[in-house]
Amino acid sequence: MFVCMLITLAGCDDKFLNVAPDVALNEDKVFGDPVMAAQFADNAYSFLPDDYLRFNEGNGVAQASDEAVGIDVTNPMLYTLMKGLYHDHSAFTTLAINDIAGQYDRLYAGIRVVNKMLSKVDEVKWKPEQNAQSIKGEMYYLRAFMYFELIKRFGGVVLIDKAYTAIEDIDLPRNTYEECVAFILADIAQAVTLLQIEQDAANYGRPTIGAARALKSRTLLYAASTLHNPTGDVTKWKAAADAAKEVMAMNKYTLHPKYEELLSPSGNGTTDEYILIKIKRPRTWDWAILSVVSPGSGGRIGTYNPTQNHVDLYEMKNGLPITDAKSGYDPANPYVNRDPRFYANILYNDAPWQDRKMQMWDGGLDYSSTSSSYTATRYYARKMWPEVYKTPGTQTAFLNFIFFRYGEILLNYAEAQNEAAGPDATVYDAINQLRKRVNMPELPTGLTKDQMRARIYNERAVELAFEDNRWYDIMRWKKGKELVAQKMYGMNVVKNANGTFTYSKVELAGSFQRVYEDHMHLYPIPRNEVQKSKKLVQNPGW
Amino acid sequence: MKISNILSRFFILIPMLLVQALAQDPAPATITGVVEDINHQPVSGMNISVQERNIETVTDEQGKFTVTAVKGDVLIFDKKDYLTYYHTVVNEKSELKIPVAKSLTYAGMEDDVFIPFGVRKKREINGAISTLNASTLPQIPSSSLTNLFAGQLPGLNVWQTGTLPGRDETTIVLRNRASFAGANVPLVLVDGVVRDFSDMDVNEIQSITALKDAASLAWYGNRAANGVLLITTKRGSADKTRFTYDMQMGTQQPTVLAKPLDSFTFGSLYNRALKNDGFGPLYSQETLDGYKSGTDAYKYPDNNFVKEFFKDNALVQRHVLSASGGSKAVRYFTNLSYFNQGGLFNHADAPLFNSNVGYRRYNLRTNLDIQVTPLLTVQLDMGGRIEDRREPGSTSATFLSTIFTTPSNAFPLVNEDGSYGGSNLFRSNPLAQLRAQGNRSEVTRVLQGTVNANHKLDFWLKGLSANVFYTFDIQGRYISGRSQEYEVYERGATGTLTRFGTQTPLGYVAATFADNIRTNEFWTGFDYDRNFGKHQVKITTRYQQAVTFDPTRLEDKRQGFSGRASYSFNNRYYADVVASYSGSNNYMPGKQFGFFPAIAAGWVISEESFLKNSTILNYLKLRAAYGKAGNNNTGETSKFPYAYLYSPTNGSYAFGTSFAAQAGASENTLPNPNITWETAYKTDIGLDAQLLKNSISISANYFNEHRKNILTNPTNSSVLGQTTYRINDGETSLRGFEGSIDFTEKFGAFTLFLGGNFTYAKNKILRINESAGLADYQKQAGHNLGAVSDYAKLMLISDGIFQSQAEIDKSPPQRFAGKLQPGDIKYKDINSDGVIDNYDRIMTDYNDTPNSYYGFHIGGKYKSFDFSLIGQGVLGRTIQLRTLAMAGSNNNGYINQFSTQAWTETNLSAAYPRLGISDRGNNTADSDFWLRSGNYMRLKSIELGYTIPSNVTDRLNIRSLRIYLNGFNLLNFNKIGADVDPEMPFAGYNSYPYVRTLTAGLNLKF
Repeated sequence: MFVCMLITLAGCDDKFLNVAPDVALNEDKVFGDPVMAAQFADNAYSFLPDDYLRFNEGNGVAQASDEAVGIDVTNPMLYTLMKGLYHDHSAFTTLAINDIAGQYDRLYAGIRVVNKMLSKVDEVKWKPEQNAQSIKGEMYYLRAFMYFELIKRFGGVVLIDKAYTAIEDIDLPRNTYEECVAFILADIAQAVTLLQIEQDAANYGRPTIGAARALKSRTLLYAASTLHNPTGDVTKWKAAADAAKEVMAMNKYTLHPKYEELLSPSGNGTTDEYILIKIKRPRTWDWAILSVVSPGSGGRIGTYNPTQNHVDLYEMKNGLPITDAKSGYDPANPYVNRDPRFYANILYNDAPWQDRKMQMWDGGLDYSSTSSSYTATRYYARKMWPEVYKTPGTQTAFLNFIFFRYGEILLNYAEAQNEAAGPDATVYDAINQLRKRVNMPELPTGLTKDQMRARIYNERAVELAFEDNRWYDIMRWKKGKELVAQKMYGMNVVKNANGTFTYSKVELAGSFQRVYEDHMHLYPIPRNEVQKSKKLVQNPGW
Repeated sequence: MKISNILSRFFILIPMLLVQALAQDPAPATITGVVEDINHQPVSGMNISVQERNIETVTDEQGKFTVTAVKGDVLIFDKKDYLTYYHTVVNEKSELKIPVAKSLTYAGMEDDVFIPFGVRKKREINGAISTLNASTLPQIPSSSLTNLFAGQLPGLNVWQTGTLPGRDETTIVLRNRASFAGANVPLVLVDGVVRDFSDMDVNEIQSITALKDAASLAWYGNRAANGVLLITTKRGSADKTRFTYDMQMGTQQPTVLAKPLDSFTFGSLYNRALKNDGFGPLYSQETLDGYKSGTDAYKYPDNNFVKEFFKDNALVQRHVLSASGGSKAVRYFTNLSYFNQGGLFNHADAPLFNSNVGYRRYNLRTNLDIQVTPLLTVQLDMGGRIEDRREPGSTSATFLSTIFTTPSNAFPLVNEDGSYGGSNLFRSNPLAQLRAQGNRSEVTRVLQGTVNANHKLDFWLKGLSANVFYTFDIQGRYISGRSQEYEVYERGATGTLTRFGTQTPLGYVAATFADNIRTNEFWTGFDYDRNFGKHQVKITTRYQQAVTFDPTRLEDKRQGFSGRASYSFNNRYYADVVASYSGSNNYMPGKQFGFFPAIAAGWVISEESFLKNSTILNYLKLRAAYGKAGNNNTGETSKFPYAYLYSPTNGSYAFGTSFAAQAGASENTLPNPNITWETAYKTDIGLDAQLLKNSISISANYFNEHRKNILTNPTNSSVLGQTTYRINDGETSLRGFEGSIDFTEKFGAFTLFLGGNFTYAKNKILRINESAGLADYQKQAGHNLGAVSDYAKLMLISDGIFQSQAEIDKSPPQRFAGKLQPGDIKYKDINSDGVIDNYDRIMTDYNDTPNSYYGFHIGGKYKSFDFSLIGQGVLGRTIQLRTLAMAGSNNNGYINQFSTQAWTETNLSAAYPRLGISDRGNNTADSDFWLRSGNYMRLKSIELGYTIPSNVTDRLNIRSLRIYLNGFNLLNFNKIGADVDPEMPFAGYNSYPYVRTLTAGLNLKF
C-alpha cells in the first residue's frame, strides 16, 4: 500500500510549481488587442504635471515665487525651494510629487510609456474605432510635452527614445539644451501631421493641432529667453513669434469674455479660450487643492496667501501702475479702482464674499494672529477658491487645470515679437486684446522696447496669476534675484473704532523670505541620480 | 467511583470507549520486589507504573516496592539517568528482583530532542540545537506564548511589539538579523508544519526546539536560513493515565502610563510655545486663573483622560483541563482550555454593548496514537481554537489616540445638559467613543489536522519503515459588531452649544469574512534505523509537497526532497550528512530548485581513556557543523518578480464630457529573471559538558554565518522610466557566541537550581547596492543591520542646545528650519563646509535590536515549597525619545508631559529643546540627541508554590495539588532616564500600556 502511494505521489505532476500568472497580462496580450493597446497609450497622459498646488498639503511652486507664501513653511517641498536648498527638495523626503526629483522620475516614466507605445504602434491590428493615427500623434505630442517639462526645469537632459530593459546600460550623458529643443520640435512636427484640428466630445482633452502649435510656441519662447539665449539671438525670438502667430492664425481660439470664470467656465466647463486642459470632473471640497486655500473661517487651513508684492502688480483702473504718481493710488485705501483682474484673483479685507465681507483684522472672522489656519499676508487667492465652496456644503466647481489657453499665446507673441521686431502694432494689439476683455485701457502708445518688455512682463504676471507660469518665467528671464530674493510683504489691517480700516504694508517674518542665487535658474539634476551615474554632469553651481 | 473515572466518561468519546473496554480484568494481586543497579545496590525513587492502568508507585530507600497488578500486565520502571526497564508479570506470587542500568549521559528518557522527522538523544546531536521543556515556562495566563520565552533559550531573542489584549505580539529572532531584504523571523513549525503557535495554550506543548546550525536547517532547504523553531505537542502514554486541571486567576496592571498635563500647565506651556514662534498668547491670564481655581468645570475644563479612562487593573484568567493515557492499541492526549483577558478601559460598559478591549480564547487539542496493526501506527492530531477579540467601534487605536492627545482643557467630557462635550478642533470625545460608537468583534477560527502514518517494513529490510504525513489546516476570521455615531457640543463663551457630528441610532456593522486560508502539506518517505554491533545507522528520506491557498492571491507552492544520514560508533563518534533539494513557485521555471547540503560531526571526548576517569569532568562532547541553508522569505510582494508583465489599471486620466477615468493597462515593475533565495553558509562549533558529579552542565557555541544573494535595490538611473525588481547582490556576516550554564545541587531537603544563558551576535553589511557617488561616511556597507524604529541610521550628530543668540551667530547656519533660536539643538559640521545640511548626516550603528541578550533563573525546592525566578536582559540596544518628547500635532501645539522639561531661558540645562508649534524642522531631525541606551534587565517572573502533602491529597483521592503565586514583568532596570518601559518605550504614551501580571493558580492532578 505504502509503496503504491509513494510512487503515485512522488511521481506526481512535475509541473506542480509552474503556476501560470493567469490574471496578469503579458506584452502580446496588451498589444495584440487594439482596445488594450489604446488603453496602454492613454496611460501616458497620467505622467504630465496636471494640477496646481501639486505638493503636499496643497502647496505649489507659486509659493516659491513672489506670487504667494505658504504658511506651512516646514513643508520640505516648499521650504527647500524658498530657501534655495534644492538638493534637499529631493533627498531625504519621501513625500508626494515634488518639483525636482518627483518630476524627473515621473516625466521619464511617462516618456517610457510613449517610447514603448511608439515601438509597438505599427504592429497593433487597429480597428476603425481606435484612431490609430491620432494615437500615434498623441504619443509624439506627449513625448515632446514631457521633454519640454524636463528642460524647463533642468536644461538639457538625457534624450531617451526607446524603452530599455532593466539590464541594458542606461548610464547616458546629458544632451544639450539645443539638441533637446530640436528633438521636441521634431516630435511636434510629427504630431501636427497626425493630430486633428478638433477632437470630438468624447475625446475632448486629447491634444489637437492647436495644442501642438501652442506647445511649440511655449518651447520656442523659453528657448529664446535670456537663460537659453545669452547672446540675444533675434532669430530665436523670430521663431518664437512665428510659432505663436501660427496658433493665432488658426482663428480657432478666442478669449473667454469673463476673466473671473476662466478656471470654472459656466455651463459644461469649457471655453474657446482653452487650447488644452486636463479634464477633471467638477471638484468637491477636497484636500488636494481647494481645502488649503480657504482659512479656518472657511473650514480649512488657509495656507495659500498672495503676497503684497503680487498685489502691487495690479494697475489702477486707469491703466497706470500704482507706482505712478498720477495713478491715484491711495495707500490708505488700496483696494479701490484697481485692475478688475485684482478683484477676480485676490480676496482682500472688506471684499464682498459669500454674502458677507472678508474680515482680515486680528480677531476678524478671517484672520487670527494666534492660529496657523489663517493668512500670513491678509490675502487669500480667490482664483483658487470658487465662491460656491462653503462649509458645510456639497457644492462643486470645475477649477480646470489649464495646459494652454489663448491668453498665454497672445502674451507669448507679444513678448517674442517685441524682442524680434520691437513694439510694433501687432504687439500692442495682442496685449490690448487681453486688457480689453477686462475693460482696462489700452497700453499707452510710444513705448520703447524696454518699456514694452516691462509692461508685457507685468501683464503676464497679472493675467496668468497662480496658473503655474510665474515661477518658470522668472527662471527663464533670470529675474530671480530681482523678484524673488527681495523682501516679501504682506498687509497689516487694523479695524478702527469708527469702522474704518488702517492699512500698512509690512515685511513678512523671516521664515517667508526667500533665497535666490544665480545658479538657481535651473534645478539641479536630482543628487542621487548624479551619484548613481558616471556620466551625468550636474548643473553649474549645484 | 473515582474522580478520574468520572472525568474519563465525560472527556472524550474514543479514549473513553477504549478505557472502558479494558475494564473487564481478572482479580488483581499484590506484587512486591526490589530494584537494584548493576552493582546490586538498591535504587530508591524509581517510578513504577502499570501499563494501561492508573497505578503508580515509587521505590523506597531500600529500593523496595509494592504494586497491584494481574498476570500479563507490564510494569514500567523509570528514573532520570536510568534506562527504562519493562517487566511483564508472569507469576503474581513471586518476589521480584529488578535489575536496572544507568543510562549514558544525555541519553536517558528525558533527553529526547525533536529534529525534523526524527528524535535524537541529546548525546547524538552534533549541531547547535537548544531545547526548552514547556513545563519550565512561567505559570501565568498569557495571551501570547512567545512572551514567556524571553530569556529562556540561548540564541533566542524575543521582544514584545504589541500590548493590546489578544494582540500582544512579539518578534522573535534566532541569534540576530542576517538579511536586510525581508523579515528575519525564524520558521516556526508546530508538529512539523508552519502554524501560528503564539495563540496555542502552553499546556498543549511538550517542547520547543531551536534549530540554529546548517546541519539541522538544511532539511528545510530554501526557507530555513533564519533558523527554525520546532514546537512539539504533547502525546499520550500508555504507561500513565493523567487528568489535570489548571486554574490561574490574575490581574494585569499598567507598568507605565502617561501623566497628562493639567489645564493650567498645558495652557501656560502652549502660550510659551506661541511666544517662541513670535505669536501672542492664546490663553489669557483670566483663563489660566480659571484653570487653576477649578471653580467652573464647564467653562474651564480640566480633565485627566488617562486617569479617567484607564482602570488600575484588569482581570485575566485561564482554565485548562487535560487528559492523557491509553492502551497498547490507542493512546490519547486531549486538552481543553479557556483564556480570558480583560481590557483596561474604564466606562466601557454601555447599556447595550461592551466596548472594552478584550480577548477570549478557547483551545482544543486531541492527539491520538493508534496501533492499527503490529506494523502500522497512525497518529491523528486535531488542534483547534476560537479567538474572540473585542474593541470599541472607533477601534482601540483611535480611542487611545483620543485619550493620549486630547489636551486636558479641550472640553468638558459631558456638558451641563448631559450632551457630550467637544469642539471644532477636538471632535472626538472618549466617553462617547466608548458608549455611543458601537463595538467591534473579531472571531478567528483555526482548525489544524494532521495524519501521520508509519509502516514497518522489517519483512523487506530490518529497520526499514515507510511514512506518510499529511496536514490540513484552515483558518478564517469573522468581523462583526455594532455601529453608531455620536454628536458633540461645543460650549461657547456664553454657554451656547454648537453641534458637531450627527448622532445615529445603534445598528449592526456589515459583517465580513477575512483571511480564509487553507494550507496543505504532504511529506512521505522512508526511515532506516539499525544497529550493527557498535555501529549505528539512521537514515531518513522525504519527498515534500505543500500548498497555501489564499483567495486574495495565487497559491504558494513548495516541493522538494530532503534526506539525512546519521552514523555513530560506540556512542562516541557521531556524523551526520543532511541535504535537501527544495523548490518554490516564487522563481522562474528552471530556476525554482536549489540544493542545500550540510555536514556535522561530534566526538564524546570524555569517553576516551584519558578522560574517562576524571572526577571533575563527567562528560564532554565537541561538535561542529557546516553547510548551506536558504531563505526565500525576502519580502517580495509580487508573485512573479521574474516575469515581464502588464496590469490592467483603473486609469487616472479622463477625456470627454463624462469625466470618467478610462480603463488602462500599464507595465509592471521590470522583472529580474534571475531572482533567487538568499543563501547562508553557516559554521557552528560547540561543546557540551557536565562537571562536578553532573551538578554543572555547560553548553556553548561559536557561530559564523556568511549570507549571500540578499536582495538589494538596483541603482538604475531614473531615465529608465520604470522601477525594477531587486537583485541578489547583497552580503552580510553574522558571528558570535552563545552559551548556557546550569547548576543543580541538593542540600538535604533543599534543592537548588541556578542557570543562565548569554548570546552575543554581531551582524555586518558586507555588500549592498549604493550609489557610487555617495560620500563614504554616508554609506551603509560596513555598518550593522537594522535601525532604531522611526529613525534613520543616517543622522546628525548633536552638540548640545544653543544657549544664546550669540552662540547661534558664531556657529555655522543649520538648514533644517526657517529660524534658529536659543533652545534649539546644535549640530556638528561633519564635513566642515561651514553649513549644517544633509551632508552632515553620518551613517551610524544605532539599533533597537540588541546584539547581546541574556537570561537567568534561580529556583529552589524545600519540602513542599518551591520557588523560581526568571530574569532577562539585553545589551547593545538604543532607543529614541523623540517620538515621546516631540509628540503632538498643531491642534495641541506639540505640548505633552515632557514639555515641562523643555529648554527655557531659566532652564538652561533642560533635557529637551525649546517648545514651538511651527517651523520645527531643526529639532525633529534625526540626530543622536534623542537617543538613549535601550539596555535593560527585567525581572520577568517570580513564582512561589506549595504542594499539598500527599497524605492530605491521598485522602481526597487526588494525585497532587499545587498552589502558587506568580508575578510577571515585575521590575526592570535601565538607564533611560525617563519613565518609560525600555522594551516598548511608547507603550502607555501612544498605545496600550505594557502590563505586569499577578497570578494565583492551582494545578490539580488526578
